[in-house]
Amino acid sequence: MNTDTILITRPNHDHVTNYLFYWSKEIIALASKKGFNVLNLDSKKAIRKNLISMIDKKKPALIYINGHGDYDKVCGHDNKILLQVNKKEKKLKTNIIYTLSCNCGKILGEHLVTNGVSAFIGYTEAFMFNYDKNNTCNPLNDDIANKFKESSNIILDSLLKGNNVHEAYDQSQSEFERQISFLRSSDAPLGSEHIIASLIWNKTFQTVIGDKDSRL
Amino acid sequence: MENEVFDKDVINLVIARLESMPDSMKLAIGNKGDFDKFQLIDHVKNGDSLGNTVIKMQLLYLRSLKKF
Repeated sequence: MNTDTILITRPNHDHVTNYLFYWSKEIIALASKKGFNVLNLDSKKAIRKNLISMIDKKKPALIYINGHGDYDKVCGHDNKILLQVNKKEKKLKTNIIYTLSCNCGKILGEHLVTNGVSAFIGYTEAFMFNYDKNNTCNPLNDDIANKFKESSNIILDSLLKGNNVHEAYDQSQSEFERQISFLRSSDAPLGSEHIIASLIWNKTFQTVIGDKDSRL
Repeated sequence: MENEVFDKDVINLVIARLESMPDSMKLAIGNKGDFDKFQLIDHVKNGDSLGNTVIKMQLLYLRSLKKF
């Protein structure tokens, strides 16, 4: 396994995945700056054939999957399945998988850990985020959506700094709390209680499975 | 999540909360899509899976206020 290599899937076929596409740009920049080799499966490249091929050839120690998901699967470009519980596949040779997707933590995460992945971070229910519909062309300028971006990206930031999975999860949970506290203050923007509701939901259903000491 | 049936008072409470959502704000709910407040209210009134998820999310938030 190559601990200096990370793989990221970044579909952007709809509004939701487009936000995640932009959020992960910051992670690519951070990882590159730290000297990691970044395997970027973006847009139409975010398909199963490429994912499995890259894992086999490059053996990334961290895989970061963005996209839609369900309890037993996670998807890439155009919602084509990337990983699924009932797919007959050899064990994935990777250390850590983080899925920014709905529901995967409930069944797929357990399955991946049982089949060779050291640790999995994800969500056991839908991952939600609020956004400003006037900013869809500039997702990174969307102050509302950025609260969700920060709470998620800190996981990768933490792992890239050498922290273990448990520490990364803790930092994300703390970031959720920090965002919620700010939104409860008098400086909070209009509609903040709706943002808080989504942040609490994501925080509650974020999960870590497997070896919590795993690190890059 | 299994589909539950919620009390009418709960549904009305959630609808009232959703009505306060700014018009410019949308909520993305993973593979279900992204919705403005009017669409969310429709789903809550319909009692479908998405509507029930929204109700559960709002109830989780309201319970958090007790601890706050």
